[in-house]
Amino acid sequence: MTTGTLQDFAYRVEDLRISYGDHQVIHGIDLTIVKNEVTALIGPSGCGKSTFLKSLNGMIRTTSNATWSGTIEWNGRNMIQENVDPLELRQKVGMVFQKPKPFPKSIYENVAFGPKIHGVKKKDIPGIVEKSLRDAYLFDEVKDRLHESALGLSGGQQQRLCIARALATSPDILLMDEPTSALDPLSTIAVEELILKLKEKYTVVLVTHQMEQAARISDSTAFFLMGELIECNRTDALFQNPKSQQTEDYITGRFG
Amino acid sequence: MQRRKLADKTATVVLTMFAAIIVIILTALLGYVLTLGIQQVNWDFLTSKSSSFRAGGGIQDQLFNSFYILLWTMMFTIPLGLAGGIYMAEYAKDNRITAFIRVCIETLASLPSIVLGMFGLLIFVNATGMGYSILAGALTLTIFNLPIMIRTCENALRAVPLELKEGGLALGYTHWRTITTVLLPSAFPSILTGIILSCGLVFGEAAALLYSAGMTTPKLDFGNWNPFTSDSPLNIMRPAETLSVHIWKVNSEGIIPDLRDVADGGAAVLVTVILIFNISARVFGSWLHKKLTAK
Repeated sequence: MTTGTLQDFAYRVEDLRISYGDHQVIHGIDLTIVKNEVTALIGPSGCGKSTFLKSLNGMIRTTSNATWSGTIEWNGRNMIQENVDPLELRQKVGMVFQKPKPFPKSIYENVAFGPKIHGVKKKDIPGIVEKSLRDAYLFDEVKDRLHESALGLSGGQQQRLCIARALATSPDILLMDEPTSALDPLSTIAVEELILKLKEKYTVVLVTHQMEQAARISDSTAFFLMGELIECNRTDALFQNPKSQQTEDYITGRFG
Repeated sequence: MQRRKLADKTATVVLTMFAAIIVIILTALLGYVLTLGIQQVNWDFLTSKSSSFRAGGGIQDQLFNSFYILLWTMMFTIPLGLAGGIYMAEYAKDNRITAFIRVCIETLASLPSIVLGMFGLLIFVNATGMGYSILAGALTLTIFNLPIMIRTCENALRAVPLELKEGGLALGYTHWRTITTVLLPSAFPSILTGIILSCGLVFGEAAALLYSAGMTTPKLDFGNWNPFTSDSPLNIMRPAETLSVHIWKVNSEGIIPDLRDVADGGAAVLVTVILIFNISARVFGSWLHKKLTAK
């Protein structure tokens, strides 16, 4: 890999293996995630797509006793071999979870939470909060009640707040773990439209169990099965013309 | 089908009955203590010194001692309990050492308080040579209260949704900063409720104090706020008879003519204070919860 192409990918993963104790859940995955695209990870429950996503910001090592090997190249460094500071990594790689869970604080404080620890000057924080809320297309809905509790927002608004919270540390990459699975259809549409707009500025890696969602908003799609990457291709190619029989079975609804 | 319906109905009736029995016992007990005692309680009773021989003594010193020992106990228990709870909820690995610590905490929680009192006598009163004192009493009560406090804090932290913790970590917060900025504030209402509830428990405890804080109080001068003089109420090295110890003592070896009245009045005050603790724990806890999560 020459330095010229460094600019084009957000992650280069090679032979990634992850185990919980003796139980291996990721069996050697090779995958390159292209910058400023939405990459969808699909597959049945327990296929390892969430585990894979959580390895991309090292969360898998922080919240569990998982062990890993292989290469996850990010920003010119292999996260697995070299000691990457979690603070630096997670400033540049934001994460949005399945259930929208804002902190039990005000809307403003939720968004200001990240910048506060990354050494942002106090006077810059209000501007960052507004910009992040605007980027998450939430600002107009909440501008009059920034200092009210975030728990008073609707589920969809809460999820967009969580996205704004992740954007506030000015990351390059957003990892999203089934961000719409706890939302109603209207909120889902709002979040999907937001994701489409986000890819102008950010690289998005999206885990989803809805194939339609992957087809609607992703540029490329990776299909996981039993901890292995079965197929990865441009989204339209993968859905119209799957190379693998297993992929075809899954997207045509024969299992999963 | 009929039998299942019948079983369901029987269960409902039986369970309601048990709940009713609990309420009845509590009301009867409180009613009895309060009706007997409340006639004895007046401003004079609360603010005059107890007497050893004559009738008409009050409970001023004992009441003060109870609150003062409670204060010191909480100053020791809260930081230790928080530290223990944070360790058990966040740092302890799922292994044998943790299991062993858990057994220790549970055993400590089930020790009879008179045994703790004897331990306090041997260690704090005798071995350190500090004698019967507020400090020895507070340290003994700390051991008495610590297991409950650790469990309260641990459970409160565990009840915080995992997503909140992950949310903090995903923003780059370290584990410790996530605990202090996300977990503890979210767990705060339940921790506070637990603290106030255990205040009631500590306030009413007698057996653990008999041989640690002692059964006497020196002559106190409430105008003297220098804690290093022997007649200052703030001195923590002086013996201190608390209200519940006083009730026990008056009842069992008192020679004052109005010992029933003093015991009844003291019991009424004790029960009232504990009721206030319990009710305020509920009210304050739910108010705080509402305030922190309000829409």
